[in-house]
Amino acid sequence: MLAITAFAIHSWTIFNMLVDVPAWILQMNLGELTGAISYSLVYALAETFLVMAGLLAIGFLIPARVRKDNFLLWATLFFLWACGLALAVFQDPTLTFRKQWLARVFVFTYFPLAGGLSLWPALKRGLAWLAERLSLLGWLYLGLDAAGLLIVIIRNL
Amino acid sequence: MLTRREFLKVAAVTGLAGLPASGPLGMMDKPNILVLAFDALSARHIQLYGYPRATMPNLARFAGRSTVFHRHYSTGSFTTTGTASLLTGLYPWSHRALQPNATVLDGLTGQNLFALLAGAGYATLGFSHNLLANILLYQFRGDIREFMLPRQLALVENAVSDRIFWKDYGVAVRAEEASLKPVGQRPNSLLLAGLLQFIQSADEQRVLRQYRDQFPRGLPTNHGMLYRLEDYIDWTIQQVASLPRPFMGYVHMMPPHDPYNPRKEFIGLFEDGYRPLAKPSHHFQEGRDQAFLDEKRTQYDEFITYADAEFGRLVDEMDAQGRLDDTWVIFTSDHGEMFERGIYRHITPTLYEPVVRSPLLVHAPGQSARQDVFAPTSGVDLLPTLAAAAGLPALAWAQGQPLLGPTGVPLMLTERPVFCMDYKGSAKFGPLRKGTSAILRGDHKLIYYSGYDGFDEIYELYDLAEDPEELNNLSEVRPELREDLHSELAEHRDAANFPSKP
Repeated sequence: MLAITAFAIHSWTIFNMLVDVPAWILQMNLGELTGAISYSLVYALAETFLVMAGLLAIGFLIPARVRKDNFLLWATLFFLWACGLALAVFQDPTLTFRKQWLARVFVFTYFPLAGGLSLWPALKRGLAWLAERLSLLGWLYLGLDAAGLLIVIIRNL
Repeated sequence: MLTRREFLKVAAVTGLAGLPASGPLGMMDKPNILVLAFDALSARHIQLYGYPRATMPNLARFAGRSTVFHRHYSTGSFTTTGTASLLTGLYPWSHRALQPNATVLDGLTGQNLFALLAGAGYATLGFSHNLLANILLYQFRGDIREFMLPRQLALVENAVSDRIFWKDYGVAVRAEEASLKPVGQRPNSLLLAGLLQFIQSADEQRVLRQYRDQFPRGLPTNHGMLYRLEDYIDWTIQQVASLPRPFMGYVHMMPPHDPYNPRKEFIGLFEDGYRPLAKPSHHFQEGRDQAFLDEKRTQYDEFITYADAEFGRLVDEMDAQGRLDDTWVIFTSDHGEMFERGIYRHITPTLYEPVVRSPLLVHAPGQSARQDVFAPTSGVDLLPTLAAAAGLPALAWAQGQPLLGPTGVPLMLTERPVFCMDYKGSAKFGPLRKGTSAILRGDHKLIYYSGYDGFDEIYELYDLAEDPEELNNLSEVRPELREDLHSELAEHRDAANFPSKP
């Protein structure tokens, strides 16, 4: 669960950092650039723990038999859907029309899909396969975070 | 060494300007210095400089006991470049703070206004309301005795880096800006930014409700901080009264930088039907129609008047304290603002007069009459001028020159070009390839664009005496003058440029 959460959050962070890094390269030396990237990763790590805390809280509220079967897959689906939605929303610079429209799309598609996982074994298997692979990337991101955290600590000693 | 004729001229001017005579300065006699920089204040919007609206009546009053520089130029078109030049006495192609949030070259960290005056026994104070300038002050913090953070006087704020990562604030704040900016601006940490915004919003609503009557358009804001200029002016008054003598304070106020949210009494002040001269759209136009620009211009003028009222309050208070008799007061700006050619504000590669012409007024201690200087001057002149005011010897490294002598007498300025530039597209540690630069010599101004896609090697040449609105490009009509100015511009740029990291 942690790795999937990390994957979703870091994908967004890294995708957006692609815009910042070229601007940073123009004005920073290598040490500063490493530092700025490290801070961004540390914020992503904090965000990951925050979301994990939320998921754990939800996990406690959901009956154990439900949670055991599908909780990870629901979370995976949620993150993929939410990331896609966020990317779509931010394509619209005015953030007006699309925001509301896509929020409705999200609500009306996510819950039927999440609810239908048990009825649709192919989707469930596909999602489980995807979650497994994405979690590998998630662990890689968490490794980068650890390095980033170390750099931030050193820079602030 | 002055000739007899020059000496008599200076003596005559001193008498006329009501300047007090002064002998050699002892430590206790050293005058205080207070630099007031108002962000994004264009000289082209001040009546003192010919604007039709009476935006700054208090500045006009202050001019009556100051030296007014009529052709003063910022070195760049936005805070970082302009402020770094004020503080280092160097042009952007030398200090290399070229992009928003950038700092000057590490090797120049100890070469700044604060270091200079702290070394001369001054108690130094640094405050910037603008976070971009604050990053520069942070870089110079070793030489600043009193370093105040903008959030400390804000009504609502959500700063993170200066609380948690103070030792590495210069870098941390840049990552914070990318990660925790408002949700609508696509922050790198969407949820964290949203959460902070949510937490802040309750406070924000409470404060906005509290001040709704005074600020019907909303409170002035800056990087997520809500503020009132009044609080910063009160603080400045307090500092002026309490700092040990002699002191040197650099106070950089945010207004009239956008958003233009003045107090109630200044809204609607300019419903006068004034329409500025229509100008053709520029290659770098931002698709703003003239009606929009005119509306924003009026709001900007209202915000300037608000800033002027607070400035007037500060000057009156200093006068009442007797501080105008022992303090140099410098009124200036880091850059201007523009509402023409389809361009709004100042984040533009153009270097037209509205965006680079800044006010500069200098009150010498005890000065009681006005003096006017019409020679072109630059932001890089501030540091050598203040060094002279503090009785320090000439600085070999400064690229500007002293504008006034130690008693406030205008110095005969040598014939020299003045430069403005915008190299946001070039690297701090690399050669300057992409950018805009301008040279002002006499009445002529050459603007040179290089390295832009579809707008490379473009020249604009104006005779500002004949064509102050920069409407008649003479670059094709007077190619010899264009080439001459360009060679001089290139010579100075190349002298400062470097091919790789030093």
